[in-house]
Amino acid sequence: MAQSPDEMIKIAQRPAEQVMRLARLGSFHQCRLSFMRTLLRRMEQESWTFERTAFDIDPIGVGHAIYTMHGPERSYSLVCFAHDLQADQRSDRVIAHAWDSTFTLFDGIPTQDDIERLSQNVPKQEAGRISSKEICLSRANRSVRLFKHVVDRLAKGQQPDPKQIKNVGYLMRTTAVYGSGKFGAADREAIADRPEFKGPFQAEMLCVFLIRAFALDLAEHMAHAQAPDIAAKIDPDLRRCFGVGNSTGLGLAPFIINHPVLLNNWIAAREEALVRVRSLGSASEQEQSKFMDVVSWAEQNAQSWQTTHPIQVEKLQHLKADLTKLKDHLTLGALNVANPWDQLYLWTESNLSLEGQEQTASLMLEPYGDLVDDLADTMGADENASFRIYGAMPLDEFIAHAERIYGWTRDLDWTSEDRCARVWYVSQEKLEPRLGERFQEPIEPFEQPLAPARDAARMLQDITSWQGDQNVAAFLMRHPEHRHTARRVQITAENPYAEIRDNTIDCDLLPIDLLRCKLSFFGATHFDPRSDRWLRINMFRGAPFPHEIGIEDVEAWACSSLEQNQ
Amino acid sequence: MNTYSLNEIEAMGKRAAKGAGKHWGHAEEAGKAVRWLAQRDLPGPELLAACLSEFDHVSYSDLTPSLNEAVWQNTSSHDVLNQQCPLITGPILCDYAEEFKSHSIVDFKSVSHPLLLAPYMAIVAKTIEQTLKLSWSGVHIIISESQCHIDGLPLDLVAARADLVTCQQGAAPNKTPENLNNTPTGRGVPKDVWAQLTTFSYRTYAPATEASRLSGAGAGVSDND
Repeated sequence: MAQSPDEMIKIAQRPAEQVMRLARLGSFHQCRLSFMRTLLRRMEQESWTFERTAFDIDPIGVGHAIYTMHGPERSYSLVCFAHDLQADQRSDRVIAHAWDSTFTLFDGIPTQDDIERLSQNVPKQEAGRISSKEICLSRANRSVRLFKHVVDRLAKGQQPDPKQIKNVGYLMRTTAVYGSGKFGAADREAIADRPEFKGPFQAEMLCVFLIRAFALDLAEHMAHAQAPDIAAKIDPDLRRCFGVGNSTGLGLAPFIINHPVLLNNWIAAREEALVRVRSLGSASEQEQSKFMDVVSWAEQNAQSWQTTHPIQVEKLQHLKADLTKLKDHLTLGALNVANPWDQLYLWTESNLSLEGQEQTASLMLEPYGDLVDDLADTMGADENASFRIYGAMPLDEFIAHAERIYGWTRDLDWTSEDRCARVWYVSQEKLEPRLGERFQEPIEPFEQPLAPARDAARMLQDITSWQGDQNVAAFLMRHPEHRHTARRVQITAENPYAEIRDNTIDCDLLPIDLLRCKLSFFGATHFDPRSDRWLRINMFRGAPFPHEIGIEDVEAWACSSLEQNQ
Repeated sequence: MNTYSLNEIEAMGKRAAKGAGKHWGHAEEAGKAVRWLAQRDLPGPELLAACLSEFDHVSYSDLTPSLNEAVWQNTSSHDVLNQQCPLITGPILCDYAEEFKSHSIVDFKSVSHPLLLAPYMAIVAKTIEQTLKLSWSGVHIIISESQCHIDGLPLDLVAARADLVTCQQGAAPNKTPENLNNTPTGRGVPKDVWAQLTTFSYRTYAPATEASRLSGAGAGVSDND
């Protein structure tokens, strides 16, 4: 419904002090701006086509396959290598050295020579080398139980059991998707000006989207190899109930801290979307009904969300209770008031847990694609543009920024072991980030600069006793140990959501909060923490497959229950 | 010779600089500097490895130049022959960039691996929106926000030392310049150079222990499900 300007109210974006707390970031849910959804939207708008150009895999599941997509200007190919992995080698953790399947996203259509070269390197993952012709490197492990169940059933000419599909959710889970020049791949800068990859993580999402198709094709292929005469194909509606799993560990956490402008742009886009909806003077019947639908979906989604981790179990209980309250509130006509979305949002703040607040905020965007979807174009970032320290900034101005962003760090007792209990470090073994105990392990000399709160507190202390020239350049010339912190102050002064307002080395830190924030922007659902520092998620569950783009709805899947699909 | 992406070169540059004793802020900037050079097909990793070896763990205070108005120089008593480390002088130069809008740019006495100053000078050129000419024995480099023209023999370009590096403002670009375009496709790096940088970077990594393998990355649940 078009709004006349006098119906609109002016709402301010939620302040960073409220949004950028770890407990809230760790309660984020996917929304219309999530990267999986923007990718599928583009596929449909630009009529991307897909073809499987090779599927040379033997009956025990060893060989290679190629999936090529054609966009308006370019083609990309997922080159898949399938392996026969022994159970004792199957590990989702980064320390693994063998996987069920390995993949690379190739820029264009690979020649026979390319495939030969890739077959020597991609299966080795970190121990191999790829080139600037490749954009992503990835690997996946099977969900052994579900994979076996699906192949066995299909080989008997039967369909897999929907309950078992629901319980696991995927046939394969990726355990890493590397992009941005890792292991010799194309640099982000080399592809960032292509419209299809301008948005964050679009190449990685494309890679995962194609891996999902491969996993299903592989199961059908193996069933067919077992029983060529009677093997069934999976019913299309049931097929869409399979997502692709993803196991994610600590690696994502440093990424968030090391890409402050990018983080700001993700959060700012969602906050602006929320502002646009909250500013509406009224909600039409159609919009209200759409919202009721997605709230019902969210309720079912929470019901089908499987996790055994105590932290998430408790959060999930809150979420379920929140959604019931929300539904009751809506039944009482909560949206039949002036400025309904603002009223509703404010109601969630005083009545729901953080899970419920953030779920509602994401759902509120659903009826308003025309109003908010354009914000997806603002979510990329050039970190270089704000990298330089502005040395001429007068010190009083700098201190004012630092106090506004980091003043709260003064209130923490940094002499307490609990406040600096953790150390972020990189292990020699696999060069991957880890989190250790400062007072129990000899790791402090290897600490990474991932404790902005503590570092800011130290800088504020030194700056109060500073007697020299009153500009940033002079202070940093004497105190070079604060350079990285000064840079963050100036970046966050321009980009309010660039910094987390919590202590990332506290004894109470839950790294999964950082992971969930990032994964919610990917579009993940069903966060399943496996410890306080790694978790599994489901991606593209319910989404159309490559051959269904242009036929199936690319919007509805993200908020429709699987039961409706069947 | 192996080819590395610019992202790998930058990440390695940052870690190696940290491993050689630089502060994190300087290490971040060293990573960007080496990337800037590699992107223009200049021997960034090679110069970084040499520079880090020369100043390995020399303290910041022994490398801070005295900011005399016209000529910056290292007047510390340390035995690195009063050389300036471009990875220290460069960031200071960038921090004071705005001052060069109204004052002429300084010259630099005794600079080690002067080509490493070029990426920092590019930041100054961009900040003050001017074309700059960086010169030392046998070499002239004209730098603006979008261009980098080099005039000089390769051996002079990668000189380990320059007694004097001068910087002039408003220099006109060469008429027939060798324009070093950005080529973001990675660059070959000699194996010994990469090994040298790797050695520095390894100082920033914690030796693996079974405890860290289990708890540090968060294990404990079977993955065979």
